[in-house]
Amino acid sequence: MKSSINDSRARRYLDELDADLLDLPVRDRREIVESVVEHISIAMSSGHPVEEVLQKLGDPLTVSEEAHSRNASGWRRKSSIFYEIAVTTLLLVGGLLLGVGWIVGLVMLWASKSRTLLNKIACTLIWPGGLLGAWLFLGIPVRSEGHFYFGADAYSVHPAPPTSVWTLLFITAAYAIPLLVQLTFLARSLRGARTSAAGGRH
Amino acid sequence: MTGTVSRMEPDGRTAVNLRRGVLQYCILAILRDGDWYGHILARHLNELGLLDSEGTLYPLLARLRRTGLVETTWRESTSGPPRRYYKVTDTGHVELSEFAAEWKQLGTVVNGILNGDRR
Repeated sequence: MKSSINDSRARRYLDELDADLLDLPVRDRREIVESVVEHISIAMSSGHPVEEVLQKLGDPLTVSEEAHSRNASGWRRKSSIFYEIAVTTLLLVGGLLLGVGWIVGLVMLWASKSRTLLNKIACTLIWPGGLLGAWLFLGIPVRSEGHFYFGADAYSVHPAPPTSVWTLLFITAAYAIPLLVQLTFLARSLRGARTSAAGGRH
Repeated sequence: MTGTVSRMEPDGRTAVNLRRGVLQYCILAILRDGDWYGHILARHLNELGLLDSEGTLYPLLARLRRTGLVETTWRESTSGPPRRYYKVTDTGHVELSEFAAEWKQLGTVVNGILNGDRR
């Protein structure tokens, strides 16, 4: 629905609001943001200039503070950030603890109310132990004549078929994409918490 | 000057807290007489001086809907995008009646005290 707004200032306002509400349950966040999108669309279609509309709406942080105070105030926001940091850490390095940490991270990821289904699916693809874990599992790649041989294969008596550069790139991309999703989500959560802590009104 | 500001601030907060406390009931009372959509409701409350930032209406409306005091319906508009209309539920009507009775009683007591009525 946000895509129905073309004005860059309004979109920036909505992005900021969305980020400030990131620790609310997805359903509540969507409802508030969609209502504000509707408000902006109606006001602009009635001929009000975007500056006036945004000014009357108030700072995104003020709206976010209202949303949080109508829930359970700052404690929840702070705990939510720690929760997301824990999820990230467990998914990235939890696999090294016999895989148990990664499983705990996975359970926490799916229990999170602030994430969308798509985000949960993407972050589930963060393999135990991260990229290093994936490589250790397959063996250290050894490059030879334009192909990569994974450790175990390179020293075997009967040479195994080479692993192509594309396979290696695929493994890296398959890891990098969910990692990027996870880190972006965490960065947005931290940003929301920082602006809230600073009380940074414009 | 500093003294004036520090003396003024508690008064400002009192007004804000008072408005904040009664806002949801004012919304229920406005919606009792007909369904409204967010934008027009925000403007109306802003003009009445009950809402400084129009955007803060939406977390409140979301909470009213979540707690079952209002419900929403989408309606097409001849000018502009579809609108989400808010309507008071039966639970909302009950809540509003209770608040109205409480407000009447409290208002009488507070007005009596403010007017120096010692009975």
